[in-house]
Amino acid sequence: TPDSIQRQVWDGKLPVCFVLPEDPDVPPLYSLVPRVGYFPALLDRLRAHLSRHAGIDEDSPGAQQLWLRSAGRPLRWHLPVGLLYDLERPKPPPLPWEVEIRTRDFPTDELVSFGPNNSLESYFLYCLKEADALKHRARVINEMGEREHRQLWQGLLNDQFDQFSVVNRKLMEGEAKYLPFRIYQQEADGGLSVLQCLAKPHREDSTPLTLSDLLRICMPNFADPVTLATHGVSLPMETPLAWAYDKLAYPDNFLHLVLQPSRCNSAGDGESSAMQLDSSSEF
Amino acid sequence: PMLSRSAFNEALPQLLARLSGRLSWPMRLATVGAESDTPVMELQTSFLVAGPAADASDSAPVLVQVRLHIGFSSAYACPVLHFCLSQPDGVPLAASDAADFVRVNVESSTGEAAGQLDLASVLSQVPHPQLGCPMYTLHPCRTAELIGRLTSASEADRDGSGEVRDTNAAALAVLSWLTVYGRAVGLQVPPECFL
Repeated sequence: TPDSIQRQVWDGKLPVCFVLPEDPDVPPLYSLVPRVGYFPALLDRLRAHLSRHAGIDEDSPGAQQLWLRSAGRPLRWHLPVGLLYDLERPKPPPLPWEVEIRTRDFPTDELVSFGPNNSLESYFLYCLKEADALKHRARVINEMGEREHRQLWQGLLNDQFDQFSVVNRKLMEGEAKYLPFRIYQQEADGGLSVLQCLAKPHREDSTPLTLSDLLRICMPNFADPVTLATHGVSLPMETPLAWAYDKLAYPDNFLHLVLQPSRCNSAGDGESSAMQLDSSSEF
Repeated sequence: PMLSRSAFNEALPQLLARLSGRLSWPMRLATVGAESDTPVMELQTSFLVAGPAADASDSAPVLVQVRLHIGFSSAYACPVLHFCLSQPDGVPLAASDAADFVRVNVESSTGEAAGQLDLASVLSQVPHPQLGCPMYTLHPCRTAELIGRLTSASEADRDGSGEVRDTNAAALAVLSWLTVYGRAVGLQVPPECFL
């Protein structure tokens, strides 16, 4: 069915093992986490686990200022879980993905803090609004009432694809002015570069804009061979952006693409070959 | 008429000149990234303002350090504020104190009761789009409308292209927008800046 790719994207899950290094006697918490979901949605479960096994009261400062780390770096938990996994360097960690729970030294200059005064739900809505501003000058999201906004969030939170899709369909249909996407590149020093620019679905000559066109627009002087991947899958560079967006956008209505240096030899595993961008070519 | 990023960038030096002429705060223009081949620029400033009213029993004035970045959102085609709030010693305000600070500022400038404003739906802590660090922002959803009206009023779209091309008009439009939105962080734009 036309929806089956979107359904597969929605259903993708990652096995995660949450550990508490500061108290090795505390048993790990295992969870199958949706790739399209967010870590802060698990905060209540994590606090309940710490309360039960580590004697850390749920209302204590430690539990309230809880944060997560992977491979020695804070997890930028405003990003979807699957994107964070796909960004891990030098390569995605073995599964189950071991994620550390920290109760001290919340990195206030690096991590967005989610809580009663800054809810994950309102951040999700902030993302949806921006995506609709790009596509439809925010007309569609503004015409929806609070009830439909809540339904999108509850659908995501409760893993209810149909509940989510019936509203999301309105945001995804119709002609888009610009397509919402971001290109991420994890740097060796742990920094993350995020590229976003205005990209129409079609070129000047009305043919579909491809991913290689997109790279030329976003990174005009870039020349190294690269691949773009989403949900752990490399995409052929001739893929039309509009098709990739329609099938592979996350629930926040953005297509999140990970930029990687291309592998020289895919060894016949079905991965597309990288396109070499020549900075001297006209566009 | 719509403001574009390049029109915003061109208006920034004039905006800086108008503000720094009347406000003695540290102020600078910064390039924080690029969008395709257009630089992403901001006006960055820092100032102290009176914080939310302390307890009635506490007579010491509470001061808040505001670090303000005035940038542009291409998605909404309008200016956008990102800001950090801290105590004068640099310790970030707790989330509830930050929300109170904005609420009290909005109340005192509009005279409306806080309860009528659903602050949670317009104030969020988000990662700065280029710098990545957590900053507060006011959702721009209605700003594009406001800018459109402000730029219409100043006849900015003289060539009928639908885009603001007059740098002076763009600077004044951003200044007018700042007069409204700056109030949320206690910023009062002196009227002389418009001269």
